[in-house]
Amino acid sequence: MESFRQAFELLFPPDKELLQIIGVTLKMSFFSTLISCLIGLPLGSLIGSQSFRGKSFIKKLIHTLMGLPPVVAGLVVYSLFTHYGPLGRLNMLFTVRVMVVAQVMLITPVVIGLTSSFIESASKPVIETARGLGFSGLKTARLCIGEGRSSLFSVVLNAFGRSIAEVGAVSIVGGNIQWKTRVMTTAIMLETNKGKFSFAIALGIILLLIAFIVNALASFTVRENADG
Amino acid sequence: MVEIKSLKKCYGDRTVLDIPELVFENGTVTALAGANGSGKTTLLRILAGIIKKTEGSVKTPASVLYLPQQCYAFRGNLIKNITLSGADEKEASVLLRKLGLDNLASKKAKSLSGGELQRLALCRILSKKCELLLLDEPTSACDARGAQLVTEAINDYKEKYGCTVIMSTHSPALAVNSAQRLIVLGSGRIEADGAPSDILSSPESQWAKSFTSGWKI
Amino acid sequence: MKRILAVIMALALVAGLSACGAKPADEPETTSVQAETPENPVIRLSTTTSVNDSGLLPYLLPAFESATGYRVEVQSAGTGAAIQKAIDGNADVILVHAKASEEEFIDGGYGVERLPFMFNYFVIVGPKDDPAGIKDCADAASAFAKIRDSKSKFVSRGDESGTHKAELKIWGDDAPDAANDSWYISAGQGMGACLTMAGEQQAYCLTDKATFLSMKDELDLDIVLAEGEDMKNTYSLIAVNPEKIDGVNTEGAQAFIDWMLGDEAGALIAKYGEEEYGTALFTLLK
Repeated sequence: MESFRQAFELLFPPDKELLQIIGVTLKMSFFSTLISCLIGLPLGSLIGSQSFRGKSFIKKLIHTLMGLPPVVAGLVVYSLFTHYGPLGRLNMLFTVRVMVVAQVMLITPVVIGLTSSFIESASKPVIETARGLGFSGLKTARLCIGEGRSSLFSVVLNAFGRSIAEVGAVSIVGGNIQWKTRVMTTAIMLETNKGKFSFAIALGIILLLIAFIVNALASFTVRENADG
Repeated sequence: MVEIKSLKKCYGDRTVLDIPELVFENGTVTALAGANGSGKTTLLRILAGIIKKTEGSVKTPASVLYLPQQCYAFRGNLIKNITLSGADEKEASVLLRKLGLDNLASKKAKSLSGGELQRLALCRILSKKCELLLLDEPTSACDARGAQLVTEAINDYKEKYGCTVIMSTHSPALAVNSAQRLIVLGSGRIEADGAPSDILSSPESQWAKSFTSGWKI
Repeated sequence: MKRILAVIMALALVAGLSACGAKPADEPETTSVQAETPENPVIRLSTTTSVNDSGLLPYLLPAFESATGYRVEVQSAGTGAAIQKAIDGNADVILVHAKASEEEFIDGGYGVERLPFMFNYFVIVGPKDDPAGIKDCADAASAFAKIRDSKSKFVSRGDESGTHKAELKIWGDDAPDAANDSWYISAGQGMGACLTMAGEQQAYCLTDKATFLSMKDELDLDIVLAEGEDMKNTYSLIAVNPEKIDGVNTEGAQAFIDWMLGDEAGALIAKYGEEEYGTALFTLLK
């Protein structure tokens, strides 16, 4: 197929602009994932393991936010960082940093939601068994994380996957500026608008390839450090 | 000694456990019987401190071990599953041999069958010392041979540490061979309380009768 | 209480249904004028965002549809995509504004004939204080030269749309290179998004007048230069060639073109925009 040939030609030898776009894409997705996991994993574990007043309301809220349309997140972040907006003085609109902000807004609820429902369901037998053995809270928590490693890991990968595939929010706050804020998805959108459909698909193939490599590398690293 | 006074556990307006007074003397072995939903597990979990009581008072010794009915296999092999709770490898091997799992010692615990896992979970519990041992249907997944090994292991443990044992069970063999006392629960209340052989031959209530009628020793 | 609610809901439902049924009866003039429905009543029009988003098509099409009985399905995208959709067999007629691409389309045998029928001017919009001082330039080329010399920020569509191609043509051989010239922002987005960006960054931008006027209130930008000879923007209609592409609604395309080039549409186009913006947005080619 034509698209596969074009994808191949872009990669061998690597196109300079493509490399730059891939770099921005990875940088954005990495930091969005990192920050949302730093916020979401502890918060999600807390919500999943504790019972408190208003918990069901918070869970509903998180589930609603999990379905937040990216365009809406983009608009909210845009109006915060626009020239006359509350954070306009930071001069961050149309930068990778503000794209990360929008992504964190989109992904954090997903990380919290997935983590808390994982802890709630999957960790129950672990907790009961550990407490039955008279283990301390700290040891129980360590066991939960150790036992749920692969599930928590898939939460992280899920976050990364969303981040790398997102287009609506990043095009609004990032602006798809060439050599600056253009990422794979907005590049695909641009080629589609240009009418270069097969080239757009070629970029899509490369995006899938990147996602696959990142997934494979990540699970390889985790497996290396697992099983003791 | 375990002392229970005016204990109630409610979920919303549904009372699932209602025990005015119950005492377990030190060093005794008690079996809890009763249909599904009669409150056996709820009672054990309250005694183990896994769930909270709604009202009343419960006094238990300082060191309590509890084996849930749903056994969980931690990552790693069988030996590691036992040493996790503080035992050394030698003690672990002894326990595994006792429960007929020594040939599986280096297998992954996650790969065990239900009956094997239940015996592993028992090994894990029995590797620690305690004053009160709570077991929730410890032979539910075992075949006849497995159940016999479990019964022997529980008896030996009790002999060694002199602890109090409370276990729920649907198995009359376990009740008769290990327990001095059988309590039949129904809808969260005590239906019968006495020596296992007495209750099995002449039940105190219709309810206990209908429940124990299926039992054959 | 429940019963009363049910009665109210039933009444509301009946009222709603009868209102729906009554609608055609209320507007007899549309139904009576409505021409006979043609054999293939759907015309697929592939056009550029500037024509559709400026409101011109939503303004013209009801008149065409009620006069002829055709129904026009508008797909709007950048000129590149608009033409590609026609090549892929997904359109019957195109309305675009990029002469070179249109001629390529005709040369490839995809289009029947290029029919230029109206034009407007691109305008250069920019910060109100005009930092590059292009206000008095004679044409866009000299204005662009000043922007380049002063390294003032400039937002480019960068999406191979008609506007982008017009911009590149004005730059000529010295088109800036987004990789090295940091003042030149290649946005790769539609006109609206580019204007928003230009407003945020206080940058210059080449735009069609209609889109700018429709967004003017939200933008901190002014028209700095208008109506240079090199800023003329001509729109053409091209029917897709049925000999090259299957499944084209040739009669429909022809009916649309005939109507668009006719007097009724001409009169409508000539006064479009006067009411809302105080100035006509498009001029007919005579």
